[in-house]
Amino acid sequence: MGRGKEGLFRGTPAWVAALILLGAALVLSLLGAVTIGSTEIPFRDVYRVIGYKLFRVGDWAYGSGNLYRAVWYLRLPRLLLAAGIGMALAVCGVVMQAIVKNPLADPYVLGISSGASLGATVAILLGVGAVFGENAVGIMAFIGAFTVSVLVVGLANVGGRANSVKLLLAGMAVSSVCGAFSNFIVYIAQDREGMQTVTYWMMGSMAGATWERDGAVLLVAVLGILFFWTQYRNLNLMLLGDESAITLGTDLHRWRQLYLLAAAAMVGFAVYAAGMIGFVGLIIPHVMRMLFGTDHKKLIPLCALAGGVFLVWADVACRVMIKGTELPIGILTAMIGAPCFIYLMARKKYGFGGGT
Amino acid sequence: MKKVISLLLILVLALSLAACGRGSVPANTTAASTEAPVTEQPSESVEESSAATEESCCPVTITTYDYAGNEIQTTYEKAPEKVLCVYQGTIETMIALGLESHVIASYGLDNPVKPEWEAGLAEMNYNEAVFAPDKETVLMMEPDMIFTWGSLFSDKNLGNQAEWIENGTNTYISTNTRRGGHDRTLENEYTDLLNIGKIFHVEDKAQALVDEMKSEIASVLAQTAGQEAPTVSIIEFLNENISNYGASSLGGDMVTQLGGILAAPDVSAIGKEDLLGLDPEVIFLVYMARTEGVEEETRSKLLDDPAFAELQAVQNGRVYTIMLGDMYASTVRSMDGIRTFAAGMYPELYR
Amino acid sequence: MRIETKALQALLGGNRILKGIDLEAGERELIGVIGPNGSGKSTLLKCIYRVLKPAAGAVYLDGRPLDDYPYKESARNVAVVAQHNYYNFDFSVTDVVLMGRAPHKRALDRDTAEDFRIVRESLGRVGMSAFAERSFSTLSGGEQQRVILARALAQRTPCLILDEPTNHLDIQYQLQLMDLVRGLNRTVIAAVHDLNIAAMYCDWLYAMKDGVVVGQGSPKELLTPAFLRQVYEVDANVITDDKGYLHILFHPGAGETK
Repeated sequence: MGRGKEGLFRGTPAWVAALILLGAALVLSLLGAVTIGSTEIPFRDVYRVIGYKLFRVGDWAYGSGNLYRAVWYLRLPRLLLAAGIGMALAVCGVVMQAIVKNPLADPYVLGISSGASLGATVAILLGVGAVFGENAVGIMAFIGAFTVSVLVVGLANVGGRANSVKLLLAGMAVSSVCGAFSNFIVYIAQDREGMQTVTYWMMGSMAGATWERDGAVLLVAVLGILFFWTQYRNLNLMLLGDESAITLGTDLHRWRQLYLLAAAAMVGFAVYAAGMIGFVGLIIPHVMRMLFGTDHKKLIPLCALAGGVFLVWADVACRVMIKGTELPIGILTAMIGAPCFIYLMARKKYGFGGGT
Repeated sequence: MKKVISLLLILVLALSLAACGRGSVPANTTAASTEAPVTEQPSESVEESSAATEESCCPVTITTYDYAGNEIQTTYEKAPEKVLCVYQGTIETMIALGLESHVIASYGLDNPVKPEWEAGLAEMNYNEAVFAPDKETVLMMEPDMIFTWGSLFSDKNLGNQAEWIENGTNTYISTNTRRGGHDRTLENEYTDLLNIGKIFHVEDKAQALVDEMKSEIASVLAQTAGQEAPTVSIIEFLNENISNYGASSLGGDMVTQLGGILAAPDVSAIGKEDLLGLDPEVIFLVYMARTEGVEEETRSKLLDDPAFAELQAVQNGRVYTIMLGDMYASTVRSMDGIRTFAAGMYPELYR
Repeated sequence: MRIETKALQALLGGNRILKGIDLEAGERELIGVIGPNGSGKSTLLKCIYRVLKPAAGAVYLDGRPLDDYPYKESARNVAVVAQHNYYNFDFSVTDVVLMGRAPHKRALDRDTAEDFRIVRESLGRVGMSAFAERSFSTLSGGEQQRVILARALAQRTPCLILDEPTNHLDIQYQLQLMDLVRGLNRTVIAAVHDLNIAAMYCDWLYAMKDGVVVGQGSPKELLTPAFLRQVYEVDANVITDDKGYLHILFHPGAGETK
């Protein structure tokens, strides 16, 4: 199969080449981005620190000092976290769009974002979940996101099987309820500092990256992405609709719910580690579809790698755009993502890529 | 018919005269009642009652600020008797100046008042149920003065200050809560204390509090003259982000006046790596004392983070905690703020 | 492979659409289901291809009840070309036809060279080889219909269900498609709108009206003017031409002669 006549890269070898390129880009991005930060650290010193820590080569002097701390405990964990979250959000975006059969969906649709913010609000303003210690806010956010997804699935199944439309409606209903509760708590708590904390948390940040957290998030992200990659056939069938899927041998009903819960878990972890980061899960799938088509066999790995690269550089930009301070990453992704979104809409190519 | 109307008119006139007459009586009863409760400086109560009788003379004009941050002038014919206090600083100021009896209602404490002020608080009709009163409640209580922070006069709260003043309720806001991006300074706190002193004719007490602060600072400067100025950061953790108090904050001003150099004077938030780059000699961690254990939690957030293990402040044990209420619109607690900063910056002085 | 229904009943939105249908499609027979709109043709087919659950009665594949078959297995035995929904998705034609191989694939199976060969062959059979890399959503209605047929062919099933397959096609392609279907030599059940097509290609016809079978037989036996008047309420003439094909000639309504 050679290069197709329609679109840019429909031929088979092209997407594999793109996959390899993106993989290389991700590794290079990590190696490159680690040398950039809010303080000036020479290239060689950065790599010496990494070399020392990973391979025990070189001068032990590079295993101590603020320089070492900056590279090993701040920059590297952040970038790895950014890569993991970017990958997870991009793939969850693709999956959610298939589940609700709508290319304008993002990973937080179906109540996941409202559940997460309710969890965080409750943790910050009411102190619930203090037993979880340091990670209280993140864990509560995860619990909120996942619980709400379960509720949405349950609600959509009332009065008959859940289909895409019922899921969307259930998602909207539960979102409104969560939003109402969140606002109520904000009002009752009368806590100015708390409100500010909630707001900042909602904007997302990689600042909380530690090696322990990274491990958990990356594990969940990679496992989740691999899982969804094996499910590409069902995801393709979801776009055809339930009736066609049955004639092709698959009852999508159970799968849809399983995918929703799996995606909710992945997004929940992302939210636990870094708050809410928007637009990654919306724009990356769109761009990849425009270039490579809708086949999820190609789309999932491509989106994963592209999402990772994107968020790594977004995190770098956050730290160096304004001298001496750090922009919350959610603001940056919105600033980049919103114009892209408008551009896509204006082109009227906001279907799953095709048509007029 | 005409007779009835004229009788009614005479009745109305008589009643209003009687009301006016009664108006002058409370002045004497408050003068008497201020002698009864225990105040910090009992000798002063004599002065107070004489001051109270002065209330009919010298109307005082005070400059304060409206919600947008513009200057407004307010005139006090006499010391207000029905003061509404909202928020910690204003409540504690009134107690510290012995003015509890002038207060008819109070709201909005972030943390408990100091033990020596508890008796005073008991007289101020403190309402725990609501953090700040709504407009209708305040209208019904008919205060003659509202003493609070600028934010309370937003549209959603008490509304336009001009309206209140026109209707006979003077307003005074803490100068350091004036909106419009103005610097927060110690000077403003002094001004507030002195202004309250003027309004309630307790200028001596107010001056004493201000002098105490000024002399503390002067003494510290004198004792550390010739020493190298320490570099200081005042930071607060909001989740994982770090809020920074720079030169335009009250805390920053305190540090500068005490002879310290702010490591990050111009920004309001810094990243973790920025802190590594700044590597200040002394770090003050701000916390809000809402619940038990917050102070410890805040300390461990910095000390337990491996990224910060080699900061010189951490290695030399120069990490101190400071309560928000001591360095943010802190009025009478500014003294505590100054002492905490000074002790942290020059530990040898306070050993 | 035989398909039978016994006393099949179905409800849609509370209404009884099928009131007891007995139908039999024997090995390699091309069965036509005819009848006016609303008679229940599509509903009957939906029950057979498992999109609808019957309220009563059962469907049998080779004597075994359909409910005993897992979806994947019934999809390996029965392929469907149904009324087509138009999605705004950007699959290529090849991608669409490749989905026809899904019933033969387990979860972690990859798409093999054999699969791609089957796809190419199916596209060739429907005359759409040149469109292999085109985006599906850019095709015309008729072209899309043929691709869906190719997908059904790629499923390599012994049975085929067609729900008004010739609706969007030019006459050339209508005949081509039916020639193709008949040439497959498989068991086919087709709901056909055009009586002439039904007469030309089907071995056996079932005529439906108001949810019941009102007659069945070979086209020659069943399609008489009297029967047509009963089922369709029109005036018609039935002739056989010199090539042996049955033709139904319709006349304008009574009292409107011109």
